[in-house]
Amino acid sequence: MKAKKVLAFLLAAVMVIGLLAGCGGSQKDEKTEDGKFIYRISMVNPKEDLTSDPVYQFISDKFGVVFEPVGVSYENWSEKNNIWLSSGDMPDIMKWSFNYKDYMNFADQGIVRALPDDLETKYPNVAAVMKNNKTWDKLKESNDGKIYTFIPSYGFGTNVYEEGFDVNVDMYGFVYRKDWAEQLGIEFSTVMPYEDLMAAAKKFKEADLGGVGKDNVVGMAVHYTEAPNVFVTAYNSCYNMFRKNADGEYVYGMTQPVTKQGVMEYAKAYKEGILHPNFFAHKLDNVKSLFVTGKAGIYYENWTGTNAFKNFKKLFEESNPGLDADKVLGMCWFTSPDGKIHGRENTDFWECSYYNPDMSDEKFDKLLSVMDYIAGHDGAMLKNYGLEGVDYKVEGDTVTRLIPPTNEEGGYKMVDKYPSIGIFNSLISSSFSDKKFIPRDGLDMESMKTLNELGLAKLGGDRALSDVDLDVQFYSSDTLSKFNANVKTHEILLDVVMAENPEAEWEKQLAAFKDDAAALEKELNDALK
Amino acid sequence: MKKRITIADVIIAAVMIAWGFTIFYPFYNTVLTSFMTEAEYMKHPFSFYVRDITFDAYKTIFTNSKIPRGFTNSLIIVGAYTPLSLFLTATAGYAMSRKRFPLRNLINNFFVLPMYFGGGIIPLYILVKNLGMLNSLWPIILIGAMSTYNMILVKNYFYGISDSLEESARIDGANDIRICFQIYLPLAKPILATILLFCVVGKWNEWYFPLLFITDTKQWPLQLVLRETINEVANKINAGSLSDDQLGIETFSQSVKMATVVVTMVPIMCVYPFMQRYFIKGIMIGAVKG
Repeated sequence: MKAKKVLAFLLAAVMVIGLLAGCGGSQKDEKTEDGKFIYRISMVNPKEDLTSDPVYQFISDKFGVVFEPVGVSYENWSEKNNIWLSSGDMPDIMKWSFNYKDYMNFADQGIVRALPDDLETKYPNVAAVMKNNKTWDKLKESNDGKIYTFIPSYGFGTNVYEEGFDVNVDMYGFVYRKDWAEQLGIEFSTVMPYEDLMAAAKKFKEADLGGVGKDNVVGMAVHYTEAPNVFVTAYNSCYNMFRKNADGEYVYGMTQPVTKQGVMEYAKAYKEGILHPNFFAHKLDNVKSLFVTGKAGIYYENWTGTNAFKNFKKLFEESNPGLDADKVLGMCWFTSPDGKIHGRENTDFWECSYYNPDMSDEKFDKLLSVMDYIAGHDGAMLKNYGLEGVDYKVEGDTVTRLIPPTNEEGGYKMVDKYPSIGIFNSLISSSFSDKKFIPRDGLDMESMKTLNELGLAKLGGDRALSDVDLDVQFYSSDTLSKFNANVKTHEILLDVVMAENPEAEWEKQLAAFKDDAAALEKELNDALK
Repeated sequence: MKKRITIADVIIAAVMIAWGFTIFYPFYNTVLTSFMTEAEYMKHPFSFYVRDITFDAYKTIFTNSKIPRGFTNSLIIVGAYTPLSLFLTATAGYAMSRKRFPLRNLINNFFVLPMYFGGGIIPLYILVKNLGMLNSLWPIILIGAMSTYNMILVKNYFYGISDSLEESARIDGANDIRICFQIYLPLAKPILATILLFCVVGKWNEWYFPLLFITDTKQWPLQLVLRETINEVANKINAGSLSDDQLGIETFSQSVKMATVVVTMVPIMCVYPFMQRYFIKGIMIGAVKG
């Protein structure tokens, strides 16, 4: 009996000690046994075994650094970052998609570290990468000129554009069946009038050249989130943004009369069967299947990067044995009813890095040294050509590869051979003159040629692209956040498109948010003009 | 006497068959899709048979080290968690069912109250971090090992066992530990089997805590690997103008995704038939006696 009581007491004591074990502090400036700084860097979906190749060893020995990738999933990226920030477990380098409101909150609370004041002089390559996308100047306007994040330039969409791209234009485009167009005598061109494109879609639907049955064929395969970019953008490129009008006043795109025309076109396209009756419920796979299985003659998507088009062509050929995608598929855009080319100018940044404020100055300086190296000429050669003497040699101005291609397409992607390049891309994703260093070995040249033609066609002619307005993007207010959270343009437009009387539905929807939009327009004009 | 089949019977049978079909068909379609080529899936996403069977999806899965590794991690988690949870809930349930246990009601409230209120994710994360358990399987095994709900089921089951068994065991010189392990637990097989099923299914399907606490993808359990595989298309749509390389997405065909689902389902489907007879009996006994 006494032994049982003693045992019970000891067990209770162990439980209490276990409770207190949860109290502890955090370690700063961790180092390896040989004195190298250890950096925890968050990465989205990192590949495995990133720290065992010669490139990693080269950087590790050169700078005395060790990197420990901390993987996050793209879906819970935000949640994970919030938990890290709240629990004080922030990695040394935390990646996030840039949002000005969050940035200002973090800076105000002092939970992220500021870049050093002498960044431009001490680490010019790092500064040059950030200045390339103009976020540097905008961020300098607040927080007494201190910058609390690093925002790399991502370069233009594919990074392999020919000369002539003065704007980072979006790469939305239509893929159409050239063979069907020839059969029906429809003339497509890289940029064609909007009315002709819609007429072509209707002709494809009526002809049913895929032989799938009149009830199964549609004019155009478009995902519901992208459909406004076709029909509404055709009338107003800035339909869902606050942008300056011709008078220099900020207006909300959805409240402009010209947007209504686009919305009615959208509704008309649905009612006339150009869009699938259930397009609002389709996933991306369903939309692709409409085109590759012959149920649609036109397919619309965002073709950023040659991979998207290459994979699409592969899927098309697998679904249609005997057809050569390069011969049978064409790509086009349209001029809007106002005679101009509508579309979007993309920002060339999206993610940013925040740094743990608990890092010592010495540790942070070391990190910036690594970033400056990667952002410079030597770093660019490392990322794109590998190790000199092992993977390439330089004779004068000529760079010669010494290794066989790293992928089956005959190309060289050095991250395939040295996975640690993924870490350095995560640290600083571009060099200030990255275009020069992106080799073109083994790229899908047909896809690249098609995409370049599309992009250049969108930039030719009379443009009415939505511009990148950093003033609005870097404006933060609770009213704006609440408005963006409450006004879901996709859902509003779907409600209008599905309605028996789209015009009446549009007026009803507009009435619900136009007063809030007007208030925000005034706020922006007062603050930013 | 042969029962007459009425119209009502026919209608009920038809409704039940239709209902059964709507439940069964998604599972059947999942298995079919796992054997389809991408092109066939595009043409015939809903079908009753596969025109051109391929095992490529399963080859992809089992040569991709993430899936077998996820499988192993899930087995480790379930294998460690289940006996621990059974031990904790059974012993706690026994103790709480003894009327002579001092402060029984107060301790019972300590167990029950956190079922309604919790500290939230941040305190839990801080606790796990300070215990040095981040990036390991330990938090996945330990969190929820003592389940109050399961303990209540066990406690209620033990209430139904006559006190005279305990009295006679004491007369024979048995202590609480012997009474619990050698008399009460052998009689509690139905409820223990029920809890075992809850533990196995619950832990096999768990993905949220691994997502939260484990950043090393080598330690991800199978459900988390499955989730990442299936969600890649949704991620791509949300990311708008970014290319696959920029998103760091590894793309999978629909057949690979469905094959991953099948591989994840199979172990539970193997366990459940053996546990089914205990499942309903055990949970009902625990509930009614309470």
